[in-house]
This record gives sequence, structure tokens and C-alpha cells, in this order.
Amino acid sequence: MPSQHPLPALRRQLSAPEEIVPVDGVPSAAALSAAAILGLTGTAVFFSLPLLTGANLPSSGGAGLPIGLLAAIPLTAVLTLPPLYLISSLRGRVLPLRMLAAVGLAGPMIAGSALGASAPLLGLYAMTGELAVGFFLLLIALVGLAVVLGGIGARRNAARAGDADPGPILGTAHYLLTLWTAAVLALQLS
Amino acid sequence: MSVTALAPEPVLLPPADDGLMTRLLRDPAGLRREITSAAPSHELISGLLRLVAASAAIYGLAIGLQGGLLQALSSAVKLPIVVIAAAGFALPLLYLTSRLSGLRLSMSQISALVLHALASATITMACLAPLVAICWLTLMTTHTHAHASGDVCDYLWWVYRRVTLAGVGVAAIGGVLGAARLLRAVPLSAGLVWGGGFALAALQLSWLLRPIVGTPITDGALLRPIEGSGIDALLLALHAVL
Repeated sequence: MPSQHPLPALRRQLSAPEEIVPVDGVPSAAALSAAAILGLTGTAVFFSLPLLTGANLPSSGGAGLPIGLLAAIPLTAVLTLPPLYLISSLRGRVLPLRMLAAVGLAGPMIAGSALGASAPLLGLYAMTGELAVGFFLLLIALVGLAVVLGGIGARRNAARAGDADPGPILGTAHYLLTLWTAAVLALQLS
Repeated sequence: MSVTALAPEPVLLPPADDGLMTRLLRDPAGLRREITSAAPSHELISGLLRLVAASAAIYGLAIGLQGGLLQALSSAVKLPIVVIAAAGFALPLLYLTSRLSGLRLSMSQISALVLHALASATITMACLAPLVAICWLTLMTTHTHAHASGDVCDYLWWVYRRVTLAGVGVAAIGGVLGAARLLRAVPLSAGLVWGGGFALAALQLSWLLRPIVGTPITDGALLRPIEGSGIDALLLALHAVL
């Protein structure tokens, strides 16, 4: 049974970051919040690391980027979950709202956790204090890895959701739409 | 008398619990099963950690030898730091990717599996370290007979390049063995992600803590100033070669 309390839920999410949709039913609000906190923290930490290099990246929005990201993710959920709800409903799926949120946000949250997991590695390169080609290549490679891992996580969680599984095509489309929206909102808000 | 009666008695190895290093070398599969079946004990993890540190220190001593005693001692301290810290930097990625690949192990179990692989690699390197030292001694002995006829400095750099190659070769043998052992325990995709992360972290750490391989003409500095990142140095070296 998923935990109803935030702290145990967060601890459980840390030990199983890939499990947004539980095997035994609908995720609790605490479990969803824990997954969101973990994903958001990972993303914010990862994208704030380039600031250690002392460079003001024109494309990143400088110090405002992590704050922009934190605001962008909930907005992304608001913007991208309704289309998923509509299409899934039209296809006759059974959709408890929390399950829909878990399925829709699993990919981005796992991608955020992957960014958090690779933050120590990026930090090791950021501490040399130089924004050079090598650092950019590493940054792009780690973001690419997080996107792939998020996609795999989204698919696995959707498959676990049974009737709420939007299917591979719709699931992938929603995942990419979510990433795109989050990126655009983060740049706009920072 | 039948033929079977003349067959020699099979030599039975003593039980494999007479030391962690012996277990690691004789029965790696048994040790791996122990790690994956239940949460590994604190003694096992600290024992593996000590093995990695000690073996890496021995290998560091061997590859730092050409820079003198101080360089050798400094490399014996730096190399364990590089190996253990690089593994730590790549560990969260391994944990997440192995969970996504369906492997249900705890962080302590994943850490113990990584240490199991690293210990196998570094013990191999430590056991082959004398070969690097012998290679250096052989070339330096030749040098004492040959230096009268040529430039000493050029000859020392010639020796340095060959000993460094021998060191890289030994490290590659250890790395292949360690990777093979890790890949028996974790899915291929997770192992590849960890390998990439470990290599990048080790590259940067060894760049930050250089010199690790002793140079024949050393300025006596234990640490050099930070000059960019390891990737940039590697790209620069590749650009110069190509």
C-alpha cells in the first residue's frame, strides 16, 4: 500500500525512483508529490551546476533557470494532462485522476531523477570553472541520457497502469510534448 | 588393477571463506550471490573497500616509480582516491538505470557489486604491477649502458612512453576483468551507463590530481594547477594526434 505521509513517501521514492505507478493500485497524493519533488529537485540541481563555471549562459537564463524550472513543471502538468485525459477518455479508458497524473508525469519525473543522479558527475566537471567544449558535450550527453531513461520509465509505468495505459504512440507523444513544454516554459520564465 | 584405481586423488581446495581476497578470486560467483540475495553486511562492504584501496595503492606505487620515491608515494595515495571517488560519482546513475532495467536491488547491494568488480580489477592490476616495475627497471638498466652514446633526456622520455603504455595495458586487463564481473550481476544497459560515468569521472579526477604517472623529468610538484577539464585535455590531445 503506498504511503500517505510525505516523509516515508519521499524515502520510498528515493529507494525506488523508477516506480511512479505502484504495482498494487492507484498512487497516493503523497507518493505523487514525493515523485514530483524528487524530479524537480534533480532537474533544478542539474541545471544550476553550469552556474558554478561562472558563466552567464545566454540560452540558460543564468541564475533564474532553476527557479524558472520549478515554476515550469507544475504549469507543464496543467497544460499537458488535459489533452491526455481527453484522448484517453475518447478511447474508452478507465481513468482515475491520480492514475492519469502518475502515468502522464512518470516520464518527466524519472528524467528529472536521472538528471539528479548525473548531477555529481556534471558537478565534478563544473568545478574546474571553465565553460568549454568538453563541458557542453557532457551536458548534452547527460540530458540525452535523462530523456532516454525518462522515456523507458514512462513506458514501464504506463504498462503497469493497466487500463490507464495510453498506449505506446500516445504515451511517447505525450512524453515528448511534456518535455518540449517544460523546456519552453523554463526558458520563458527564467 | 583398473585404470580408475590409478587416477590421482582430486585436490580439494580449502573452503572459500578463509579471506575476502581468496573468496573474491576463487569464488566470485558465490560472493556475488551472497550480495544479491540479502543486504550485504557492513564488514563485507568495508572489507571490499579496503581491498580496492590497498590494491589501487600498490598499482599507484608501481606507475609512479619512474618519477622518484616521492612521486610513487603520492601516486599510491592519489590512485585509490581516483578509483573510489569515480565509482561514487557514477553510482547514482547505475542505481537508477539498473532499477529501470528491472533489477530490484538496494543501494547497498549495488554498491557492494560495484566494489566487488572494482576489487577484482584493482587486485589484477596490483598483481601485475611488478611487471610495470620490471619493465621500467629493464629499460633503465639498458639506459645505464647506453646513455654514454646518446641524449639522456630523450632516452628517459623514450622509457617513460613505453612504461606508461605497459601501465595502460595492465589497467586495461584489470578493467576488462572488472567489467566482465559487473556485467554478470547487472543488465548490459546499466553496466554501459555506469562504465561511461565511471570513465568520465575517473578521467576528470585523474586530471585534477595529476601527476599520477611519474615523469622522468619532474618539477617536484605533487599537484599541478587546474587547467581546464579532462575532456578538453583529451580532445586537445586527439586533435594534436589527428
